[in-house]
Amino acid sequence: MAKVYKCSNKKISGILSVVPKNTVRFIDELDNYNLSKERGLEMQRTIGLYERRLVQDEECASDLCLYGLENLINNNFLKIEDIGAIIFVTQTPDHFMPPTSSIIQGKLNCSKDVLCFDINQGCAGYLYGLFQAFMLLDHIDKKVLLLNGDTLSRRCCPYDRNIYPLIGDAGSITIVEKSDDQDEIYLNLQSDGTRYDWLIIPAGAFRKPSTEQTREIKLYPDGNKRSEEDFYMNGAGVFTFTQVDVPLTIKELFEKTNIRLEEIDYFMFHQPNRFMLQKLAKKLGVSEEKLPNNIVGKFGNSSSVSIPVNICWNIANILLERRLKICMSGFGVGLSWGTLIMNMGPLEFCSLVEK
Amino acid sequence: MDKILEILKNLHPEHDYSNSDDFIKESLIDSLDVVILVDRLEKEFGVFIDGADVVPENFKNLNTIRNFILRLKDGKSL
Repeated sequence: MAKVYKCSNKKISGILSVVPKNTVRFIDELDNYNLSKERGLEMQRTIGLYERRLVQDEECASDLCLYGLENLINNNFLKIEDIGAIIFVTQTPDHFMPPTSSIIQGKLNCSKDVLCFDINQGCAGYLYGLFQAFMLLDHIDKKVLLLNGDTLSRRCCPYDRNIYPLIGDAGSITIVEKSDDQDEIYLNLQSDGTRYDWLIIPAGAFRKPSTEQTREIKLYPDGNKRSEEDFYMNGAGVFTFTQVDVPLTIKELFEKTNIRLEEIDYFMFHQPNRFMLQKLAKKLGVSEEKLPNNIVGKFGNSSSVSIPVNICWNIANILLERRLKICMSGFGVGLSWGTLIMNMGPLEFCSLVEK
Repeated sequence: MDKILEILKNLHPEHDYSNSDDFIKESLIDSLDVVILVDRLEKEFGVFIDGADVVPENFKNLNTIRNFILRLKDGKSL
């Protein structure tokens, strides 16, 4: 059974998501995937692949987050002197070293007391980041900036239909701070490193450095093409993981906290694809209205940013007005997964902007 | 033609599914094909396939898919 972590006197005071303006439509890419229009339309209907947002040229995840930070500062939602720590959750940092959080701290001209942490996490990264923020707030009186950002489209082969049509790029800023509110926040997190190679970029770092061979795009027997420096997903394995391990951990959290599924206003889950989420909702006995699944079809799967994008796109107006009981769940690379239940709102800001 | 074989042939006419023991190992279907296959089987046979049952053992070859659908239909013929 997964351990349940409890936090109190902490709150999320606002969320801003940033997506690139550049919109790409699945139906325009069918030639890349060697798909007929008929099959493409069927995949579109079944999996919910319509359009997504991708960065262009050499734009980085940190650029999206910095754009959002400037927006918050200009609109008086954030003051530099109120920042106590910066957590940047990403799999696509600016450099191998230094930490991108340090670069962001420097660009914001923060004081040297502002702590910087990079966390290499993917689809469960919003929950890992929130947990880190909650722990930091036991030692810091100022606000913690939780930044999530990924530009994984830059590490996917455009000819791999198992992965490229699903991926989107995005960044988000979540402000986490102390609160008088004593409502408990419940969270469980799990990892299984024995399945580390189910979602992986096999080459290009230190275990298998970049060479001409690792950069070569190869044709695989299933008709997909990619190099060893591209994102690879064991799709069948990951599907089973989301339908077996993930619901088990979600149910465990509800059982251990004596919270009933009916008490939850919204289930804001990571967005791998619509089909998986429909299956997961049915398994949990939750309606699609309460568990939105429209993000991949509109913005793409942006890894750890998909939960904040989901919140900002689907329930921002409600969260600006009133308090909701939210269940979040993230699951992916690592493998890592987890579930969180907390009361949220009314938020000071909650919106989605384009860069 | 067998309805299941027809669905598979429609996915990839170029593959010979009737002579394969393991579609996944032999790369005759990839993960997105599995999603389409599940959707088509649900519609064709009027069954609900739980996500937890979407495992290689059930989708290995024609026989395992046929037996899996039969189990979902409580043994009623396909």
